[in-house]
Formats: sequence, structure tokens, C-alpha cells
Amino acid sequence: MQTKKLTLCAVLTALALALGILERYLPLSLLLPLPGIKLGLANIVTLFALYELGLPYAAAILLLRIMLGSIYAGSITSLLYALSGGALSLGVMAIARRNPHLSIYGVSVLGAAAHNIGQILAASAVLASPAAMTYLPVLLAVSVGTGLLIGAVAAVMLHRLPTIRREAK
Amino acid sequence: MRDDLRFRPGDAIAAIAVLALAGLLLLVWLWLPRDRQTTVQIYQNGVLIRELPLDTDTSFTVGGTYENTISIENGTVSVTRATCPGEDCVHTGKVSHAGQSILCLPNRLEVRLSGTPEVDEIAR
Amino acid sequence: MNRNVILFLLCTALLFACFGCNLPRNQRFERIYYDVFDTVTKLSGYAESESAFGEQADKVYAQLHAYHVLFDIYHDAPSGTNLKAINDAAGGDPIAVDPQIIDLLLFAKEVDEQTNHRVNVTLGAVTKLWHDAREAALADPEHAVLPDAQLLREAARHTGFDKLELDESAGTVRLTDPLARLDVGAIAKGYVAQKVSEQLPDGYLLSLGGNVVAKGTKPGGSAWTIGIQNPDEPSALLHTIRAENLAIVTSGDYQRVFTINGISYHHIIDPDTLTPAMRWRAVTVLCEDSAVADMLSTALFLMDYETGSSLAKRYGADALWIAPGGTEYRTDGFGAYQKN
Repeated sequence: MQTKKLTLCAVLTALALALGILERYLPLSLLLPLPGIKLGLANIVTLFALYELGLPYAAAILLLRIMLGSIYAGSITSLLYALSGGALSLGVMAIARRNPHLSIYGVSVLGAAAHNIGQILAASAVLASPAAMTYLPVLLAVSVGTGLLIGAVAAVMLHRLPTIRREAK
Repeated sequence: MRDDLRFRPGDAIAAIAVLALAGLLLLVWLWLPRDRQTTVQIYQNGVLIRELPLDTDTSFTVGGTYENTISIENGTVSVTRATCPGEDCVHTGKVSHAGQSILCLPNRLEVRLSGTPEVDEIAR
Repeated sequence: MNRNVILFLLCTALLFACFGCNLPRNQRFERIYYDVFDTVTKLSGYAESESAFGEQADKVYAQLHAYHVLFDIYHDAPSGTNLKAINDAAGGDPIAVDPQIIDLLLFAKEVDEQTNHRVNVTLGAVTKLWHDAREAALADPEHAVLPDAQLLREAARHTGFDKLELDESAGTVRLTDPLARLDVGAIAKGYVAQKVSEQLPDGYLLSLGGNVVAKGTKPGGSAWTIGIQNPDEPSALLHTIRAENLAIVTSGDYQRVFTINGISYHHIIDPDTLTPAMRWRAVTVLCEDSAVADMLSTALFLMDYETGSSLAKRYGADALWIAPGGTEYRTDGFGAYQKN
């Protein structure tokens, strides 16, 4: 059981990294000319892990993904932003999941919003100026759309995957 | 399908709450810059030597190789008298918009209005 | 997976995060220089830190200063030769010069041919008389006088590229006429801005006294915005241009001016009349190459609209002409650069 879970974690981390790279070829900024806007495809994996494996595993996969991702792409500053965003996002999603009125859609939207808030807070701290805050409303508005989309994909994945695992036995 | 994978009314409330937060922040942002006022910044040799509010009328003289008398009047700033050759700074007239500036090359002086400029640079 | 592993990963992450504190995202910086090309030079750019920008700015300043010394016609070079040395040696032996001077003079020769001698660096004997008159007028406005017409006509006999010998292989230059002088004022700033900006990364903006070169865009992909000055009101803008990898240069009758009896005399001398050109208030040229933009702005200032626009077309440049009275003429492509 341990080995199986560990393998699943490894596969999910690899998937999240791949999605992160794929996202660079699907720049949402072409549709909306705003810097820093993205779909957050890697959040599909975080959501899946949170629902399927629980918070500790989701946290481990998230951390591994962010740190591995920053090794071969991105500066240390962007690592800091990703960590702040990721940590706040996962924390909010773990709490939101316990709310009986919310499905994976609401959890995903709140996670996307929290991710942006975390990043902007980190940017404001690094730049020692609240100027980055002025950008938050736009990011939040966009995160509702991307959050619903990512939630839908994660829902499909969670719905289908039990079948795949049964057949693989 | 698992029940927690289906859209619930609570999700809509969460989405609306995020949008409301965005709207609220936007309002705060629109309100904030109003109480930040434009200032007159005097640079000599690229160093900020004086900073004054634009809404208080005053007049003073900056020395150096030459002398420039700078006047702030009714929300505009101008160099009203200069001992430099050419007096381009005087001919520039009154400026009042954020980011605009008056230059005096002989005295290595720049009078600049703080704030985000309308343009990045001016082709003269 | 146990708690210890998670704890370890968290600690590692925090360690990384602390390194990150010292590396903010790209911010805008600016530096102003007052001591090159008798004008105000401004370098703006986006960099990770003040020191990263400073490193770039120091490089730019070193290059600007080197070119300033080389192309100076009023002061001796502290070491080596410059344009003043060529002028001083007029009528004498060929003198060996820096390859940059040869390169500039070859470009100047091409410009002279392309502009039908409107933009001619061998007009130095004529422009010197105007320069001296301006200096005297600025120092003592009460007794300001225009250069003597007889002297101007006499000086004009000592101009033309037939009086300049360029030996590329030997790297030497010689003015054959002892009274001939070089004055590269109409092309040097644009040429230097081009050379210097070639070394600059995207996200930088160089303005050599209003001779503007925009490299790439600002971070995030938005274009630089450049204002075109209103000739009648120096603090107001006539148009706003969106610039991405673009040079913008204006020649106007309000630059380097002196006044006699209420009449202003500017520094762009028509080689035919030997007096400041009166046809246009200002001409702004937009072109990828700053050297071309600078020489075209002077050329177009001295030409009628038809001749000028066909010359601009030949170089793939766009332009805006402002006639006395404020009427504007523009090339077909100019509108595409305009903001709003």
C-alpha cells in the first residue's frame, strides 16, 4: 500500500510538472493581455491529490512540484511567489473542502483566488511596496473563471480514475 | 459521480464572494490615489535637492553655475528667471501634469512633477 | 509518507524563500547625464536591481563618453585624435583616426548622396559662423548680430565632400582645403544612439537630448509611449507614439535658438540659403534605425513635402511634418504608431 501510494505521488508530481510546462505553451496572456495571468493547470493535480489522498500528500506533491519546477525554470523570486501562493491556496482549499455547502468547484475557485492573494502578498513584501496590490482585483476576477474550469477538469479526473485503477488491478 | 464533485449552490456564492472582493479592492484602489498629491521635485546633477507641494504657492532661487528662480503658482510650476545662456528653462513655460519636467542644461537642473508620467519620454 | 519528510521539505522551502527576499522583480530605474553631446541624456530601463541597472548604465555612459570625445569639434581629445584634430589639420597631411570616425564619415558620405547634399557634414565652415554668432548672442544678448552674409558665402566655397579624403584601408582622414571644417551635429547623436542601443537589452529606453530609442517593450509587453513636443508650447504634447524597437527623432525650429530683435534663429542651416531653414516648424521621423531617423529628420526639415516623403519611403521610415501655422502632414504609415 505504501509503495503504491508513493508511486502515485511520484506520477502526480511528474504530471503537475508536465502541466506546468504545457501551460507555458498555452499562454492565457494572449487572450487577456495582462502579465501574470495563467490557467493554473497544475492545480488540477493538487485538487486531485487533496480529494483522493488527503492534505499531507497534496502538500508534499505541491512542494515537490514547485521546487523541482523552479530548479530548471524560473528565478528564486518566482519560487518565493509560487510557494506563498501555493501554501495559501492549499490551506484555503483544505478548509473549504470541509464546508458541506461547497463542491470541488467552489473549492477550486477559492483556491485560485487564494493563490493570487498569496502571490501578491509575497510580491508586496519583496518589493516593500503595496503597489502590486492594485493588480489584485483583475487577478481575482480572472481566477473565478480559471477556478471553475480547473474544478471541472479535476472533477472529471476524480470521477473517471477509480475505474481506471480497478481495471489496472 | 461522487456527490462532492457536483456543482452546489454554495459554489456560486463562493464565486460571487471572490468577485465581490475584487470589486471592493478595485473601489479602494480608485479611492486611494486621490489623497496622494503631486509634488515638485528639484534635481541638480541628478540628485534630488528639494521637494515641495504643488498646491502651495511659493518662489525660490536655486544656485549653482547659474541661478534659476522657480515659481509655484495655482498648481503650476515654472522657471520665471534664469541667469543661464539661452534661458530654455524659462521658455519652457508652465508645467502642471505629473511626470512633466523643466530642464536647465547649463545649471544641470531638472524641475520635475512627481507621479506616473503620461509618456515615457519626449522626442524634442 | 511520514510527518518528518513533510517537515524536511517545508524547511528546505523556507531556506529557498529566504534567498528570494533579496531578488525583487524587475523595477524601473533611470539615470540622467548632463555632460555628453551638449544635451541631457536619459537612460530608463527595467532591471532586477539598482546595481544591475547601474552596471548597464555605466556601460552606456562609457560608450557615450567615448563617442562624445571622438566626435567633438570644439575640444581636443585628452588622448588620441578626434574630429577637432581633423579640422585643425585641414590642408595638411592625412591623419590616422579611430575606426569609429571612419565609419561615421562613410555613413555621412552616403547621407550626403542620398539627401542630395541637404545633410552635409562638410558644412562646418558655414555652421561655425552660426555657432559663434549664437554663442556671442547668448553671452551678450544686447549686442547680438547675425553672421555676415559675405562671410557666409565665402565659407560656403570651402564645403563639399570633394574636400574630404577618406582612406579606409590606411584609416586616415584629410581635409584638402585648409578652410574646410567638419560638423557632424546633424547625424552624430542619432548615429551614437543607434550604436549604443545595439548593446542594450530589451526593456530599455535611451534619450539623447530628445533623440529617443526604444528597445523592445516594457516588461509585460506594453509598448513605450513617446510624446511629440508641440513646437509652440514646449510643455505640451502634440501626439503620443507607441514605440517598440523604434527610434523617434524630431528636428525643430525651437532647438538651440538665439534671438535678435525678437526674431529667433535656430541651428538647422539650409545649405542653399546658408541661413536657418524656414519651411517647417518641426519634423519627426520614426524609423527602426536611430542613425537613419536622425539624418532623415534634418533632411526632411530642409526639403519640401514631396521630396521628403519619397526619401522617407526609400528608408521605410514614417514622418510627421508641422508647417508654420500648425498644419500637419504625415506619411501613410504614421497613424499606425499613434496612440488613441
